[in-house]
Amino acid sequence: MYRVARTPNVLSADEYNRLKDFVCSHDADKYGIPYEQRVREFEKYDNSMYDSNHRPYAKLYPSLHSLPKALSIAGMGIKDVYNDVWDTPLRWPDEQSERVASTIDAMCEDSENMPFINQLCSTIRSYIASWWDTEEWTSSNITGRVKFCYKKIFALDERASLPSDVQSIMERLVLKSNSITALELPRICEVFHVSFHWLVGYPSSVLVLGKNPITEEFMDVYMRLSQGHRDHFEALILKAPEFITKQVKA
Amino acid sequence: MQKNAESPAGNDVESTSPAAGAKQRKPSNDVFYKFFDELTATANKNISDKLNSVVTTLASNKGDIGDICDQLCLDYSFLYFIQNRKRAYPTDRLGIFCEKYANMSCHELALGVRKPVMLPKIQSSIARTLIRLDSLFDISKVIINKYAPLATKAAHGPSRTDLTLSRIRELANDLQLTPMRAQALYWGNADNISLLFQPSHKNSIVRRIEKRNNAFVKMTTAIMAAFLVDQPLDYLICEDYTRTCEIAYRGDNGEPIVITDPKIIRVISIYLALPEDKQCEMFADILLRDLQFSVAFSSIFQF
Repeated sequence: MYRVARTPNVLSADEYNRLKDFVCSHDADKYGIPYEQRVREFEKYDNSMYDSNHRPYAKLYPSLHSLPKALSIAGMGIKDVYNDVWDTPLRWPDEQSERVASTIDAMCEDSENMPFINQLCSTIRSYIASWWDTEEWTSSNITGRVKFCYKKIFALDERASLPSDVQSIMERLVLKSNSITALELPRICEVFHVSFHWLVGYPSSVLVLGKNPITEEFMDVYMRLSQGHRDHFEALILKAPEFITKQVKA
Repeated sequence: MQKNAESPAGNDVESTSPAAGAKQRKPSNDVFYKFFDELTATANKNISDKLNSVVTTLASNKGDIGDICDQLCLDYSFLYFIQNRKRAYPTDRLGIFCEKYANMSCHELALGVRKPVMLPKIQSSIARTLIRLDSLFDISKVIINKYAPLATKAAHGPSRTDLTLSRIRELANDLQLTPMRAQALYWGNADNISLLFQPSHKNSIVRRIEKRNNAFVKMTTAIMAAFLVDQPLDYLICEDYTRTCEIAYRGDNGEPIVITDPKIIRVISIYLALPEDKQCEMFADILLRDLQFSVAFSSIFQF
């Protein structure tokens, strides 16, 4: 089969085939979509990926952006694919972020807390360094974002002290700009301390690690804070539910 | 760098004249060093002059010179060396001298320029919030009563190296960069770092402080660091800079607004004296009140 040269941020043949095998097996039964329906739908989806107009024998693999649509056939989420199919655990970079996300998830259950969370989110935005507000984010793809983050956060001679696996990824990126793979992204998110949701550029409706869109949106902003500010805001967020309850009682 | 047996705590001391110490750095042709060497010499001269005048005044008032030495944590012989410009004034004790005797900020005393400390983002948001809320409720008083007993750090602590580094880190935090990267950004175009501005260069302040295992930063390094972060010396060498120096925050248009309200200054002073976890708690306490108030205010306007 003629294969199209890989474009940035597109799943590799191996990644895609592992996903296809998983979806079309009984392992994916736990996600709630019946086996026959799932296999039938996924076959249709698989066949639609041939570029019939221009190169009939070339198969186009899905990008990370279009992955949620493919996964909806099997009732899966992005996190499930990483954890169950690709064996690369996708989680919050640290326990602090996990605590904050779970608190926001819990607060989102009560709709009365929404104005408070929105206000908090806009307050946090004012703490984010101005270099994050560049046009480069909107115009670039995942590879571009990774490069920009790397260039912006670390000084020249600090880059040598990064973990060796991340260093090798970044060295590879210098030589070949589209060489980053989906499986390397969780590690990059962990080291750069950015949200996976934000790095890939998903809309807030796509859930990666949060339980609802507001949490995802909030964590995208929260994780762009520096460490010192994150500590301060963590204290605030963990204290917020108790404070709100007290105020309501008063 | 020499060890002076006569210094009270046995701390590192820096000499100001070649005669004072056998081991001296060669006079450098480097423009960079020359500039800061001249500034340091001026600073040492200013401090020594002020010390002389204070000692003379006290002597004429029949004050006990021994008491001054005790209060400044200097022994008499060391005081004599400073007065005669054989030793530089140790930066870790400069804050006490400025607060008790000079009645001016360390920066003003050393370099002759009055400059307020521009508060970092966390402290400036505390100040801004309290100024806004105090017009309606007396929140500052509540905060002072609640957190003043928890303030444990001394206003002028013994070690200053860690303090200087933590203050540089605090400012780098605001930019969300590593301290090295922040330095490169301050001193030049970080995307096109020339040799001088490269953090691995010999002039790198962060590395200079980290590598030299001194008890306190030397005056030259402190001045270089003050230039690096565009803050007065007080910010880098005093634990509680509100006691010696004016504090300010940036207004909406970016202009510095000097804080004159003693209650707000007291709150910032308490914040600086708190342990880290309590600092976070205090920040959360103030911001939560503000958030609650703004939510309530916006809901009233919706109706």
